[in-house]
Amino acid sequence: MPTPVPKVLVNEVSVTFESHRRSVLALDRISLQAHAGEFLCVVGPSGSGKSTLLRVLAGLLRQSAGEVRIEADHPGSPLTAMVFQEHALLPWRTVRDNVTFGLENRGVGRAEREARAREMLAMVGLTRFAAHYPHQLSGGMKQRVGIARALASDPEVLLMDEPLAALDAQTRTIMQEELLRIWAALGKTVVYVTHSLEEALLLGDRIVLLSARPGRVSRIYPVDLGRPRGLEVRASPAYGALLETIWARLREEVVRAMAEDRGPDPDRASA
Amino acid sequence: MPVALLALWEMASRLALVSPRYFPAPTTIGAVLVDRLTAGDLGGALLVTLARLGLAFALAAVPGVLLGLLMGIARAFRAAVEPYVAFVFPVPKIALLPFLLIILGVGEPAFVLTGAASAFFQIVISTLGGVRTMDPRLLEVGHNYGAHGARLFWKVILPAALPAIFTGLRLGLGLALIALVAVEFIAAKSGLGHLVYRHWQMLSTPEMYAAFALVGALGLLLTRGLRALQARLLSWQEESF
Repeated sequence: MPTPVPKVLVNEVSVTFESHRRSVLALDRISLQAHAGEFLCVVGPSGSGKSTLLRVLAGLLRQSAGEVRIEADHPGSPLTAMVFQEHALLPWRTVRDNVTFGLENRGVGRAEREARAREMLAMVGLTRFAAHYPHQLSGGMKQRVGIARALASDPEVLLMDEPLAALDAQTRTIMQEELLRIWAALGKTVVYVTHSLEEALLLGDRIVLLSARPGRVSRIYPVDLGRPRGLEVRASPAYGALLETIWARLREEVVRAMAEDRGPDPDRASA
Repeated sequence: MPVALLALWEMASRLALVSPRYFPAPTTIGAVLVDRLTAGDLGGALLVTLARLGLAFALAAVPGVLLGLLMGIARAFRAAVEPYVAFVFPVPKIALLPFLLIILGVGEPAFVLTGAASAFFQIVISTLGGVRTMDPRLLEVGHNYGAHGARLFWKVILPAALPAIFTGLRLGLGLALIALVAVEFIAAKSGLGHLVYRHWQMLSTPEMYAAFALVGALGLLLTRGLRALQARLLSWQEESF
């Protein structure tokens, strides 16, 4: 096996939010890598800065310190495309025009845009809904559009910010299987933020566990559960063992985060 | 309900339970309305008020939307201008009339500008609100998917603000009509407001009520028209408005 190329390199990245009185350290010297074609899951308690990390990778937020590098292998492709929590579709655009939004902004011609939209909508099973507006779709369908929009841009790295968190349990399970299928077909590098350890174990090649505020890399776990992976993996002893191991550590972080939410530690408030 | 109310009024007036002189029967008012609309002064007054309203609305809408958008996207500009807008907004614009009459003289420019000022501030504030309260994630979508600068404005910010802009236009139209009728009461010698006032003075009450009804109908029709336009242009909107 050849040495994996680091597609995403995050080196000692810190993010501090400055407000009127105080500054809050959201990310504290985060370092991690994602290899080309890897499905990397980031898990942590609320307030561990998971979404902040994704925003730094997406270029929506500038880190206060440290370095972020994304290896560009395909000239003309955007570095990242984000699938947002609760889809964030543009409500005045049809499904098709939402999917082609990124291509349009890059000046891709109409014919190519529409061909690409057809391809992506077929992949997420929404061919018949190309001319619908977002408000006419169910939550699961909207998020499929969000995924199609990201894939249509053909980014170097796909960023996903708790994309299934707002869906009901059954829809979420189906979407997880869909994601596995799409990822297997396209071989994209994915950085996937979730608060669900089960979801991370089902989808990820590795799991980065972040600590409670400020977010630090608590530990990185390889997920050696084989590929292709389906829902049946949940019945395997290896899955159960790994879940238990990571959960023990995550539990500590969650409890710590809850304790801090009840009463902020005065030593940390003005870090 | 309105029909029952009108019937009650009709009866009360016919049976002289209320003074028919002050409260003429709705059918009498209706007959006058139809009669005077084509032959008499009502139709002419309607056109005058409509022309003033159209002009005032256009004078308010274009700069109002532009100013609101500019304030919405340019923080420094907003900080500089917002206090003035907030200062003038709650002042009833009819209070501007004496000032405008002094500098412009008694005439159409002063009348129309009073109506325009009424609509203008409402349109500015609604438009600004539309930009400021847009879902910030849509801005992130714009940035992440390569829409920057002017492209971000045209493809994300403006469409997101359009429903609020339409609301502002609708409210502004109503406010302009209110101000114009008041102007016609006070200073103008023409228009529906003037007619209401004159017929009140002469106690020709059927004509007074007829002019009154026309003002209401005008407001209702124009607001409905804008609503229909919005439903057509912004068919992507989820909720009815």
